[in-house]
Amino acid sequence: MNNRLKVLRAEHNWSQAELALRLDVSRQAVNAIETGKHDPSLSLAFRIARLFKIPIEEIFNDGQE
Amino acid sequence: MTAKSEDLHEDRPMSSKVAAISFLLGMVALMGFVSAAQLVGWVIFVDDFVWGSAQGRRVMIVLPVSLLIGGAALWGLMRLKPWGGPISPATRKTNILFYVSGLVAVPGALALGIGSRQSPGGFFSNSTIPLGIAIFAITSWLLALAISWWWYYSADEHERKAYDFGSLLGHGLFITVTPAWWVAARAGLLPQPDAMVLWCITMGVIGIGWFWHRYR
Repeated sequence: MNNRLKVLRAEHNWSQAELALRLDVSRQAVNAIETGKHDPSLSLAFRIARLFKIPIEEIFNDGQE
Repeated sequence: MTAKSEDLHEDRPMSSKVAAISFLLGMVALMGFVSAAQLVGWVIFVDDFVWGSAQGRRVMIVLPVSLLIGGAALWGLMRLKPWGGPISPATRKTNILFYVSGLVAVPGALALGIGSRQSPGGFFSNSTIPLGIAIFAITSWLLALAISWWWYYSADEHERKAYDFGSLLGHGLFITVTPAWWVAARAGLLPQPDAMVLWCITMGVIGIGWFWHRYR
């Protein structure tokens, strides 16, 4: 699964730790999602989308389109 | 709250320096703890005969060396500030539960070390121990396990997945090695299976798999 989390985070000028704080997860979790080593659950993906105020499909892409 | 520019481009979940120091600290802490348990047992029960023995000399070397290396490693770790920024409330809770579950097991392990103080293997020996010490150690272990379950269900999904990965590796190793060792022992190829050797290997594999998955 590809994602734009790192770009979105940089646009908000947040470190991984600051984003993790906002999502209530560990910094390692944010790092793993950004680097594609962990696909977030639906509930975490929704939390991420709500935080950035954009639809999920604008953050995550399964490469099928 | 804004990040410094270098913080925006982190790619590694943990620096190799922090990982190396943490591993060293864990190993030294284990060695130091085993020696400390024997020393406390000798002091409490005034076992004078051990001081001049090879066992006594080993403890008197290992303990101060462990303290020295462990202290230096801890100092180095604090200087590197591996937590690197704010920590979310859920992560703080799981960190606290993780350390509490470890601390709860310490009195039981210490009691076990004291009960095994006269055995050359110390903590890791299979020597007979008093019933009271066994009950105390088992209770301490069960309490630690209960807290570790609480930790598991408080951890975020990435942490749980990493732990599940390590557990699957440990499970695979245990169900492979245990019957193979048992059969080999029956054929006289190996000594009788040792439960604690199997446990230590399994826990080691779980730990390696868990941390590799978490920090890869």
